[in-house]
Amino acid sequence: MVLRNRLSKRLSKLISFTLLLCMMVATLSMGASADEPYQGYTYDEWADPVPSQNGYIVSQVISGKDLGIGSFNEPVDIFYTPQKEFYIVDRKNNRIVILNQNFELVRVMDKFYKDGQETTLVEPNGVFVDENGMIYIADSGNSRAFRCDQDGNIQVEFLKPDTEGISEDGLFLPQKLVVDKAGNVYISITGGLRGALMYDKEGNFVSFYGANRVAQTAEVLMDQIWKLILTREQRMAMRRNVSIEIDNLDIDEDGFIFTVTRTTTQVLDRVKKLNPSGINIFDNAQGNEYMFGDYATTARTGDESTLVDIDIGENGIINVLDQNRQRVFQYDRNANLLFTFGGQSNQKGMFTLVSAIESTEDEVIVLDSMKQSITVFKKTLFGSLVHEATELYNRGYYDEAFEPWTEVIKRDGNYVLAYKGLGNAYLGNGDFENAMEMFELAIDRDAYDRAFEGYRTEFLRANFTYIVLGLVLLIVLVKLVPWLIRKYKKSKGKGEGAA
Amino acid sequence: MMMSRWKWPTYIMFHPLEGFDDLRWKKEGSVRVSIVIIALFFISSVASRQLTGFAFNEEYTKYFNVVPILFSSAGLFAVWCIANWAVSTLMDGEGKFKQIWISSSYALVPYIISSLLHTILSNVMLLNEGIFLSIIDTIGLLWSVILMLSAIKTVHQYTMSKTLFTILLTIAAMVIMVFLIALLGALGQQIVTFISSLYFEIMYRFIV
Repeated sequence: MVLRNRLSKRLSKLISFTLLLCMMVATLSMGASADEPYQGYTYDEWADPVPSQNGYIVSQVISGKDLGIGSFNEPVDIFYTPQKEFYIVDRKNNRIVILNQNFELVRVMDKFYKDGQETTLVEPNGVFVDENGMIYIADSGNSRAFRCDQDGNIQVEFLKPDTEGISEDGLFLPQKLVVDKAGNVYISITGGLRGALMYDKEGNFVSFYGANRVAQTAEVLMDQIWKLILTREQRMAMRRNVSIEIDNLDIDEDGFIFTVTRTTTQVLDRVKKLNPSGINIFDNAQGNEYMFGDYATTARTGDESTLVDIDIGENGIINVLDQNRQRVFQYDRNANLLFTFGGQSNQKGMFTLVSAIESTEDEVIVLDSMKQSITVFKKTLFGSLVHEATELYNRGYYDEAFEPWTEVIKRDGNYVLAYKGLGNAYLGNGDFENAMEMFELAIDRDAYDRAFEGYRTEFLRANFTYIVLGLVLLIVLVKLVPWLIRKYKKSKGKGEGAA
Repeated sequence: MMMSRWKWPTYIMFHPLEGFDDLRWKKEGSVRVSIVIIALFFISSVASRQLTGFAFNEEYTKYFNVVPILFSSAGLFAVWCIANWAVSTLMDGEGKFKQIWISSSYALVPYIISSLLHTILSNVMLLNEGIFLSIIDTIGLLWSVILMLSAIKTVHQYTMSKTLFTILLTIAAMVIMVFLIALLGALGQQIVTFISSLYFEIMYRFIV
């Protein structure tokens, strides 16, 4: 009895010690990731969020006062120029603020000259700077957009076009703009149901560009059926199903224009990658599965991401800004989710109302139009590893990507994309067994199938003789054994009969 | 012709018309065999969820809960038998509950075999050979449906049209039963939470 008591005491001591150790380890490992106010995540095959290492951490938060130019008042757009400067649209202050690479003030633009006469901005919304340093501004309050030089001399104005598809009495409010290599200007406007407006470099309206489609919901279908029955007058009185206007644009190095649409009612056309003829490359109707923003966790509407800005960074990295949860989603050029960061709160690195996003080589800059601030995120080591690996991977250098992917896995064993990368590297080297294991971890059925095909062929080739032998043996056994049993029974029966 | 009771299911499989007749008149149906078949039905459902080859398995395999599978295999079978018994009693069927149970379970054999075959073959096949698996599935299912029709027809001594009509009614009865079971379950849960919250309320008020 005494012995047993002593034993159990020892046991309980041991258990409590182990528990304590576990708790200590747990708190320690928690501390390692708790320095950011947000927890990054990616999505797996089943659309479950999987926590991951942060690819970006907050480096600084800048307000107008820090720059010595008075508080910002609704900063709504930011542009990183080829000259490595930042142009920020300070909407309610009617000015453009120019910062250098290190976020120090260069100058403030608020006076412009048209034919020598001074003019100002009224609630501008968008800015763009081309390679020659020409500045394009969407001057919404004045119902115009214009191009000016570095001194503010307006060269060309882009005005409301006289064309069908834009109501004559409605306001003309240019929102955001991009300029392609040929100098064509694409402007998104409020109520631009037929897409963005495309102007040539002389300021002549050319055409509409990249209109969103109307999602075929049950309601729309019902309306179409009704239209077959109703009279013309009744039809005119009906609610019209029109597409949703484009909210924001960006252009990548190859001249593809990306658009986002701030809709919560349809998934269709939320993010588009348009080629020069306006055809969407990110089109799920072609059998792809491009998803942007948070996956709808429940059937509840209003829970989806409200995407307000898009930015194409180096190597085609896509940054998308969600105003619903104030989060940044970063994708590679093939729209694989890499990182998420940011969130809603008052902490540093979190937001109350995000308005614009821009990226440099190793920074992501987010504007908050309620906090009136600029938040700069810096890429972490993990982030650069993932970027290096994805870039190699997307270019097809699976072997070269092996090393960085291994490093990624060392830091985050849940990173699904890394397993895909490793699997493809193994597959390329004919190591089918390892490839299968990796693709199973990445839950990539099609890739697994490819690896399995190789594995099976190899297996059959190596073991062909054994398999054939085994089959022959099996047939012999199946045929032979019952025959033997029958014979045995017969002879036994005979023996009994004789006795 | 004398057969061991374990040979009847395979005999019926290949003689769908006279097989059930023989079974009925010779009273050779065995509850033990039928229970083994239902157990196999359950096992094949579990296997197809857990052991199907990775490329073919679209199930959410992060969690495994055996209870829903039990309900959707053995439970559903029991509901089928009860519903059919209830309907056929009103429709002048001659079958007893035991006969319905045994004959229906024997009719499941091809489906179980095809499902097990599917699970095994999916581990050695590629996605573009998947058409064979769906052929196996279809054959197994059709075979079982034909056997089930014959089983119900023979057990109750119905005509074909009456059999079909009874089966439609049975399915309707099954839907109603499942609905009622779900309803009862939800209500029971409500009562349990009500009583437990009452208990805790009283405990917090007067005891703690």
